Amino acid sequence: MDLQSEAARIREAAAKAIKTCKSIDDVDAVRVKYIGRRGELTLLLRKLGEVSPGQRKEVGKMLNAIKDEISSLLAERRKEIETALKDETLRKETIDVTLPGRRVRIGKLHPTLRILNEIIDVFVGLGFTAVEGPEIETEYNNFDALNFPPWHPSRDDFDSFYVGDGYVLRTHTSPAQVRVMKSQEPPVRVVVPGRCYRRDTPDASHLMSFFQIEGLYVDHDVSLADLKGTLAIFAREIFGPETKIRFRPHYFPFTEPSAELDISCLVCGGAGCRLCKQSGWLEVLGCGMVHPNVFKHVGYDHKAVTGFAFGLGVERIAMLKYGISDIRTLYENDLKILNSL
Amino acid sequence: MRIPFGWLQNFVKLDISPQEACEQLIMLGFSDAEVIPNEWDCLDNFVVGRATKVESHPGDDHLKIVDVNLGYTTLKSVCGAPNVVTGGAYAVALPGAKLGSGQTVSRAEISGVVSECVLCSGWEAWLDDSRDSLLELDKDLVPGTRLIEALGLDEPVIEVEVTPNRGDCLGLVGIARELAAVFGKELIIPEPAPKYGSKRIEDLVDVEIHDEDACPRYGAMVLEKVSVRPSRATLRAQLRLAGLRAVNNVVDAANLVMFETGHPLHAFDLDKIEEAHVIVRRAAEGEKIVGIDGAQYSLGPEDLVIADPSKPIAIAGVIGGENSEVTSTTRRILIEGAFFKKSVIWRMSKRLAIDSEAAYRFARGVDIEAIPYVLAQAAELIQDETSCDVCRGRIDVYPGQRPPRYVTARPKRINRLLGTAIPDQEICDYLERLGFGVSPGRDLEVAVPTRRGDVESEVDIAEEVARLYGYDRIRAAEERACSAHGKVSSSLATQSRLRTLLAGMGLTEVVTDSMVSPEVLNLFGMLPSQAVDIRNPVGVGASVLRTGLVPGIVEVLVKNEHRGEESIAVFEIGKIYDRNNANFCEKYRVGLGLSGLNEPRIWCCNARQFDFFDLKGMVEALLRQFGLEAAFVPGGPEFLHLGRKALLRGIEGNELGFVGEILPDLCGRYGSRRRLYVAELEFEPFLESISVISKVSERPKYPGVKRDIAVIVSKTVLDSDVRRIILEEGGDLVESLETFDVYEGKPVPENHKSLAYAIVFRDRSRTLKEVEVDEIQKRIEKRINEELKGTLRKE
Repeated sequence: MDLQSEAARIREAAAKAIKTCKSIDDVDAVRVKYIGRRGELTLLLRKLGEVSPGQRKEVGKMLNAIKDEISSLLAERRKEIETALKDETLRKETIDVTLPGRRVRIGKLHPTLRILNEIIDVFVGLGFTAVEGPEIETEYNNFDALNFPPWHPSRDDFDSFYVGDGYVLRTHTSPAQVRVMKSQEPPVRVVVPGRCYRRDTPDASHLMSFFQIEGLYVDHDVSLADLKGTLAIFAREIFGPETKIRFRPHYFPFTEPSAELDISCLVCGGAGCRLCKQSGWLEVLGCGMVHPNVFKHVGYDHKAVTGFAFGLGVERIAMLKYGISDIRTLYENDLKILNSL
Repeated sequence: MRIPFGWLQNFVKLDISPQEACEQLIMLGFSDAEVIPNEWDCLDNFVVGRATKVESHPGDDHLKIVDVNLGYTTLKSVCGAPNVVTGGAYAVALPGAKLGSGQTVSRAEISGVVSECVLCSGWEAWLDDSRDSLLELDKDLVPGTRLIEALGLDEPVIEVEVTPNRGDCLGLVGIARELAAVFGKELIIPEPAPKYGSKRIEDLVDVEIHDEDACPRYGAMVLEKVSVRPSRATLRAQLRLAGLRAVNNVVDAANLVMFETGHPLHAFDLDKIEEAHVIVRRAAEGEKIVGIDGAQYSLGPEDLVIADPSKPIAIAGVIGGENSEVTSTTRRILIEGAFFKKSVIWRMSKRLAIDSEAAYRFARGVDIEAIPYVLAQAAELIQDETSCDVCRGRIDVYPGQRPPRYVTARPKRINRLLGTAIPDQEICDYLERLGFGVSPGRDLEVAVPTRRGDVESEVDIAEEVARLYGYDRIRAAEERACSAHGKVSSSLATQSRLRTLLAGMGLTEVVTDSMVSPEVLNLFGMLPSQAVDIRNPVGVGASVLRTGLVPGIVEVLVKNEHRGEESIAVFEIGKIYDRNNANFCEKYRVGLGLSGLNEPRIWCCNARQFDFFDLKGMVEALLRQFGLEAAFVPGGPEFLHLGRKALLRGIEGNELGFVGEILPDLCGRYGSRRRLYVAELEFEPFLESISVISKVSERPKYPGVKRDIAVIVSKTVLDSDVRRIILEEGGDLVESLETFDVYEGKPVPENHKSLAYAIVFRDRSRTLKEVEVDEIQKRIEKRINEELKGTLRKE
């Protein structure tokens, strides 16, 4: 058998053996067997001297080419096996990525107060300063200064909580208007959030204690149109850009003219549904132009300034936004509910 | 206020649908105006029938057998009513009809005679309470006509809310005036023309007013030869539409006039008024009267009564007296048309808990000038209904007459207030349509109708103008809203920051009642004499303002435990209250509460029960975030576990709050099976610290020396005692100090513990030498030895 055909056989055999290698050891064994120091091809190369000089160069070239080929096949296979081994190690470390992650506990803010703060943020953006007033108020600030006649129903023991001679738990945040105006000269632009109290029998829409936010803007030539503009922005910011508003005449002792603000229904957008009782509108707040008598009480010149005021029940907004139908739900402090909102 | 839409058109002719009228009423200020759902489905199987033959029942003397002609057929009915006569027209309930009494009509045999339909009383026909006699219908009605049509009930009814300032709209005419004004239509007001007899009222009665402030005007008319009976069916149907109860033809007529004009009237039996002498006066202390509702009322000097020389005969404007009530035997009546002061009526109605139609209207204000008109109107209607004699003239005691009210209104000013540019002429036009008198000029002199007691000044006029102009036409001027910058008070900003941090720590915010029960506060020993009592609480459950947040937090913890919540972590930022005589004080506090597992049970974590140090850790984190320094000293309120409570003290020794575990006994009373941890912190320190800004500290240039030391001390020695010594001895060189291990058990001797501290010493100006630290450590050791009887544990 001549060298060439022997080399070709070795090439075939080596290639076949490399293919069946399962481990690095197998690869090494094949290398030793064929191209090691005493490998078959190595031995064949040593026989090159026996080839006629005319052919030697050519045969030598061929044998070396085969050696290179086997080397590279071996290297390739070694790499394949190494990769497979690494993957195997990693595979053993496989975890169930569908298991839940370690729980990071983050609490929730109370829905009423969250909405309250959203509302504050909107008005702060509109130039209002947010301040607070006391819950235990003088009857004077809560009623008289706000132009409630002495016999007005809400002054009654049936409607307001009294804690001392001339002191009530404020029935609305409006007395803060009086405090603010008594303490500073116009222009005044404030919102006042806080807890209020009324002697209502608790039901799906009433509580004895609830949150309100009051707004007041007094300056030269403040008009009902300005009030409407401010509240239009408020409605869009809180309820969404598509929200439409409607102003209706109403009655409050401390504003004249007075109005109620409706927004287009959050569910049906105005077409009529159960939430809005088919009217397409949801009542949101009461407002109006500050009554001149209120200005007189706080010592403002009612001929020189005008102003608007509004007051809204925060729970009502929270209920609309979160789809809560019973106001008491908000204060059961049920973590299942609070954490879901 | 109910507005039957057809009836309304007697006063203004409208060419709009009831729904459109509702829209308009809403935009005029009558909230929630809506067409109420048809109330008359119940009358589906009721028709008009004529009795063509009435025979007595062979088996029962009290019953009659009636042939009832229904036009298309004749049915038999067995009937026990006394007033069934041949030729009479009655309401007939056909088989299938459900009666107001609750029964369903079907063919039935009554004492051997088949009855195929039922002749109805007012009660059975769903109209009113009259049960003893059949409802008599107009004999001209065509038999077979649906009862709804025959009675005129088939008209839509609008219901509106009338704000308390608009007493003038508590009558149909008032509502009609508003709609007439907005549409520029004519308001139709009928002219009453009773036919007067020859007797003169002055010869029959006299009236005196003792309290002219409470009753500035009292008018009366007298009617004679009255025959009091149930009203005609159609009149009763009208009352039903108006939502009023039928009584008799006199009272019903008076009520109908009230419903139209908004002015309440009262009819007395004149023969029951002693000496025919009427006195309007304050009641004597303890004076008693039985009302027409049968209840006895005890009166006092704040109450106003109508009286004769010997007794009160009515509570003025609120309810009539039984002793002067118009009954079937009444022959002569006195109709009262009066004006009573709003506040007087309102107080009486509230105090005596009488919610009458009259009181409702008087309390909201009626038109003092309308009294002659409403009296004539009532006289005419009662005359129509009873064919009585109307005595000539009218009693009219009017000492409280006041000049008409004029208000100056400046169109320019009105437009500035509204943000509009309504032309002067249009303003005048609106006001005139509403019945205001206007004398034009640069400033308008506006004469306010007496019915509009709510209009007192220019701003009120502005509202009237705005209502007719249309609130929806006023521009929403947004440009001015965006012209300033606002900010949040530091209190609100501090609250926000605390809330964000606490929620970030995993606590959920709750809001608990600030009005609480004294018993609950007592349980916690938190009911000091300075607590603020509510003078008129609703029950004892909420009769005092809270003096701390813990009771509310505990309730939340326990309620949620009972709801099956495994892990509970909550906080509240809320006010507490107290008083020092007349000085009330309210301030915010921060409350925290933990109970149950420290995290939800989940595959990868070993959940354990929350403990004291979880809560303390949260409090420390809060303090750190706000840069506040405080020491935790054993002790605290009585409601906490005696060995597991700590007071927080600020640097100046001031109390900042407490942390601890609720006493097991107290947990037991709440039905809790867990350990409950609570903390309550003052809010003020957080508020004060919010403006403090800490400056950046330089990166240290020189190396520090780290030392771990462990000390063995008696179990009663506190961690803080050891730390104090380390800090005192190390001084400024101590950069950080952590307690990293607490150990009891072998090899530590019994009743002792090992505390291990990791300390970093550093001098920021030079390299600290090991020997210097050794020195310090020796001094620490010496003091621990001497002061705490402890030893340093050698490795």
